[in-house]
Amino acid sequence: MIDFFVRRPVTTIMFVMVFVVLGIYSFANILIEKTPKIDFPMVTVTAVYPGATPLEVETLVVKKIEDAIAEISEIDNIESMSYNNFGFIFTQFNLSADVNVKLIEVKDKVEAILNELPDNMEKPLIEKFNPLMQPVIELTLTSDKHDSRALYEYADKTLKNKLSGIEGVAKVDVYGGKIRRVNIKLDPMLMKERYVSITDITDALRKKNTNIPGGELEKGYDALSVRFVGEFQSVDEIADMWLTSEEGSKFKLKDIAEVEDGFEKIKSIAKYKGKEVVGLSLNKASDGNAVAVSEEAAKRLKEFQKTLPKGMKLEIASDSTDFLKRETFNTEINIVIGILLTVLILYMFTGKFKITFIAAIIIPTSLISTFWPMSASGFSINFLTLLAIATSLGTLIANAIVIIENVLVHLDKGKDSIQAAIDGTKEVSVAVMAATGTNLVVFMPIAMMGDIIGMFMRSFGLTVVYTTIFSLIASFSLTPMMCALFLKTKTKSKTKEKNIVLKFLHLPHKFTDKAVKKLKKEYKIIFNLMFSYPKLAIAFTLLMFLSLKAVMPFIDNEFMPSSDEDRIGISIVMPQGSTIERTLNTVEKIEKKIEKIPEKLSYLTNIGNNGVENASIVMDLIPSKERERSDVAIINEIMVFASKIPDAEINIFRSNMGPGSDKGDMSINVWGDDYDEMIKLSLEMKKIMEKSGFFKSVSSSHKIPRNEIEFVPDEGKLIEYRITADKLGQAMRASIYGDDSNKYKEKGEEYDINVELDNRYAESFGDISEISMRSKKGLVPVNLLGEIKNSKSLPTVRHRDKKRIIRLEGFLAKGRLGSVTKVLNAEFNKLKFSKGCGFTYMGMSEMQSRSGKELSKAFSLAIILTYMLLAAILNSFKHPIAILLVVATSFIGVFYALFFMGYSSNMIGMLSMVMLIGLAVNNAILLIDYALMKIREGIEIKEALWLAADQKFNAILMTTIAVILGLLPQFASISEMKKSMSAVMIGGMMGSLIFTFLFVPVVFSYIEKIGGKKQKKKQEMNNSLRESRNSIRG
Amino acid sequence: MNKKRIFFYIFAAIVFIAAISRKQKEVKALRNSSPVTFNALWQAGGKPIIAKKVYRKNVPKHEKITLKPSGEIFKGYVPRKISEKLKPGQNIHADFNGRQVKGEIIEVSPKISFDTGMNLVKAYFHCPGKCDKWLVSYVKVGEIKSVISVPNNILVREKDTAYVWAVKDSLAVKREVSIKSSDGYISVVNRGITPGDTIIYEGQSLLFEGDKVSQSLNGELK
Repeated sequence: MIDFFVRRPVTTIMFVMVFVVLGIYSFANILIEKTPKIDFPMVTVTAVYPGATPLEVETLVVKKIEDAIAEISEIDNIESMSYNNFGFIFTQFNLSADVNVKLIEVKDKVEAILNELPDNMEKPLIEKFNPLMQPVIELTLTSDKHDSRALYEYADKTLKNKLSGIEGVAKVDVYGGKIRRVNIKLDPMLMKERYVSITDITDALRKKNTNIPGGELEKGYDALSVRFVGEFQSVDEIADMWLTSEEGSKFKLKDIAEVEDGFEKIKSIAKYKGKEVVGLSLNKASDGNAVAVSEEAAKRLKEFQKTLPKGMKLEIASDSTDFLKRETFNTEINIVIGILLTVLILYMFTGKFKITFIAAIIIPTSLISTFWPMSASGFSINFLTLLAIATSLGTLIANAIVIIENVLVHLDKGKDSIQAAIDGTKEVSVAVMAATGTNLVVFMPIAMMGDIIGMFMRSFGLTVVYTTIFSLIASFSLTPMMCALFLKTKTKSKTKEKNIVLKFLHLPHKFTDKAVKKLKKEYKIIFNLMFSYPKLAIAFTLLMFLSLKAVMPFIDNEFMPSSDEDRIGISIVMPQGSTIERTLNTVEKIEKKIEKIPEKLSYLTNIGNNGVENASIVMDLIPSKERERSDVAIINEIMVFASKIPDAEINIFRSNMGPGSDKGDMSINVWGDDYDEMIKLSLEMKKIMEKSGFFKSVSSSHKIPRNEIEFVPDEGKLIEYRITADKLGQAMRASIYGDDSNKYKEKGEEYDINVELDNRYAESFGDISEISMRSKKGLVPVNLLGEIKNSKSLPTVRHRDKKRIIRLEGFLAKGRLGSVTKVLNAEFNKLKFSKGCGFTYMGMSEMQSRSGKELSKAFSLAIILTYMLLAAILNSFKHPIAILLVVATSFIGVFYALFFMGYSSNMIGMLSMVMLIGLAVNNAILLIDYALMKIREGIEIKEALWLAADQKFNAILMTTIAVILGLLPQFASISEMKKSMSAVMIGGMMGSLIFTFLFVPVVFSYIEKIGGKKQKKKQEMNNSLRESRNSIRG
Repeated sequence: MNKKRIFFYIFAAIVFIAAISRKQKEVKALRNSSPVTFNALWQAGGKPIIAKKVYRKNVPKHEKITLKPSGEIFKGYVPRKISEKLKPGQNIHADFNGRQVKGEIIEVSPKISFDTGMNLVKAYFHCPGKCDKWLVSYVKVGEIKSVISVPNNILVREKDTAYVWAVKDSLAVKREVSIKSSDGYISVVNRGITPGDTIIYEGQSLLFEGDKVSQSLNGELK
């Protein structure tokens, strides 16, 4: 095959170009995303029950839905949150489950219990949920001329439809502003004058506000349709509606109520740079391209702006792809720099432009070809696939280096270039295949990894596999072909020596050559020393291992490191029962502070998300390279200010628009049978977390209960007045919360007609008694029908697998998750947990533990598979042991690199360690493969090992430096993940390089001797057996 | 191996060990450092609160009635239980288009109207413009004399017991109180706090017993 490629250069070029062209074609179709696309089998149910307390939402709605859903198979867990007015139920299924099937099953289950749910609640909304789906763009609609009701109206009825039409946009959410509504505010005193109750009014409205098709009148050939038209044509018509009291007196609605074309009670406020706006969030479809959506939206925005009503302004407040585009571009630049450095090191070692040229062709060829299988596998360009490409740079050229090095050896022997290319490639084909095979085999366990981490890392692993396969294809086709084409037998050319430019260009090579020769000379001394005191060499390696004990406690571990991504998130939670005005007041204080921060670019505020007590501010900063202060310094400044605001539970964190970025770094679920005990424990644990000094802030899902007024009906009175409890409850609800079951239609749009008591009669304890009910004895005030009591309501209720939990969220200020968990555990264990109570780490901690287990399994499997592959290739059980020992020694380099560079051990780092197994053994393979060849030629072990070390010194050094240089530019990245991964790989490769030369030869010689002795003994036994048989026969 | 080489390797080993030791100290220092945390800020400066001294005072009692314009005066019907508390000459105020208008009751009919089953009330308002719509009016009908009252939202209720947060020596302390009477927003306290006590009105949601507290700058009272 190698003959074929070498002798048919055009065929070879075309063969490789097929993949390159497919790669270029595929590149255009690859999506650019922040993270790999993962379909989380998660279904969410949103249940809106207006006016209900969290306890009512929990008992009347959430529990029932949870019970119904729990019957579905393949559930991993069910979590729910019950707030004021609404509840969420998140059902996460096993990763193997088909989310579309599960969605239908959840819909069926909820549909089946609809009759058991309260009448006044809205129909539950059931949809697939992807925690990775984040708004691509946040738009704001503002005006100095139009009020916020008009802005909302235009955003909701017109802009939303237009924006939904943009390709790739799945959903547009409108928030802030005022929602149009016809308000009927009844005066209870005037109602009493007319002997009417609130239910009389709502019933009268319902009866009047209706259109009924009356059928058709037919005469001869003509037919006339008849319609009864009772629906209101204007708001004035509603106000002028005639009502009749039970006594027969006639009056208009406006005689007892104020009727206004107004808006709903404000439940959410959006602000941009401190100014009130209407916000529009554009969410992309799961298969949509975030960058394309952003670019298309920016383009279409210009069209939409032209058709905006006069005085309205539509602009982009925040574009999540800005950072993504910047970071992707930076990574691409870093990859190009990596390629240039790799090519440069090749030139420095070989001093030959032609060899450098071959390398410069091989790397991009393999890289570009990789885009084809990436696209076919549905991978996007994201931080993990880019990281995979960056990590592979050195390995892409490693095979080519080994082949070129060997071809040069054959050329030196005087062979012609074609023959040298063929023989040189063939000779190292086993080593190249073994090295590539080990690179590939370690990714099999990664591809097989379960859990979310497996889904996440699959694209990383497979991208490396693809690049490695293409590098192998190029190594056996393009590399020998180009070697035959460009490399010639050495002839001294005096003219070249005289050329000053060339002489200058050769200087780096000369220096490198000199340095390598000196290094080799030094190694010769160490090599001899090693074999003079072999046990000392092993003891030195063991000592280095043991020395890790001194550095390991100083390396932190965590799930995923976070980075300065030019964005800060602030979440504000006011006490339960706070009005939106109180939350706004606190937000305004923080906004004033933000205004004074010079690094701020803009900030977007959303008040009322998940209740009017909650607000969030997303603050965009100028790019980190353009500012002097880090995001942490800015966070600290805001924290000092925020710590002086009473009653506000504030969390300030790095916001990356990623999943869970607004959640704490550490999440703990406190669970138990006794809720009071859980509250007590959660408070103590919160105190411990705060006092530990590790956390900027700690928040608890359990809040101080809000005030409540309870009305307890008197059964006897209800019977006496012949009023049913549900009617009484409905009347109270309509009076205070309102009844918006009637609709008003205008220009094809529907608006709620809300009937409620005038706000001034719905503000205090005594006002409740002004609510009147119609009874058989006439109008009766409700205070005669029961008892009104002061009480406290249960605040937000959370469930995990149908049981109540309290969630603690901690935002780290120092330390990493792993080490902090250890410290906290020691403190938590001192607490007295009553029977049935306990705590579980969730979120990142849970992910870390689950992922750690998966990665440990992958690591073990990778070792086993690598051993099996090496044993098969080398046809030996013992030699792979010597090679695999270098994996262990490479970890000395890994941990020292992490220690000195100050990076944490995290999931990405652990993944790199698995990958390192494949790379670290490559150097040892080269060394041992050659040594075995020489031993088979009859050369003594030590001599064979020295010949191998001498022969492969340059290749090993070059490939290791190439891998390191390919990764080095990643340290310029903002992403801590890329940096820690590079540190692991670079440290590991350094470890592999050092111990391949210092440790492997000694271990190999021991293994070889032990094996040799056994074989000798066996042969001696066989000989003596044969001799004794012969003597018996004789 | 010559001496120079041995010296070089020993030197390298010493540098390596020294670097490890230095880095260890660096990490230790970082771990022992005090980052900016809310807890640290609160321990240094106290948790932010808004506190007020409580004194005995008269708590007014109001009734709400709706009055419709009728020529120069305003008329309305009120239930008997309210009419009994009203008398001519009582001050009355209402909100009209965002501004407060004042007036007085001029007549309270003792007879129950046959049409409405309620008592007729007449009042006069000093409207600089013309008040052309009905007014939800507030009439002071009495007051509870010399009591300590607190807003309901500062009361911490635990089962059958009520508490308030007070400030003693710049520390937050929980005081059990006994409630005499209460409406939707105000509770009259008859035991647990005495005139001159500093009671926390805002900031109690984040407090633990014994926390250091400080008056919020934004909450300074006039």
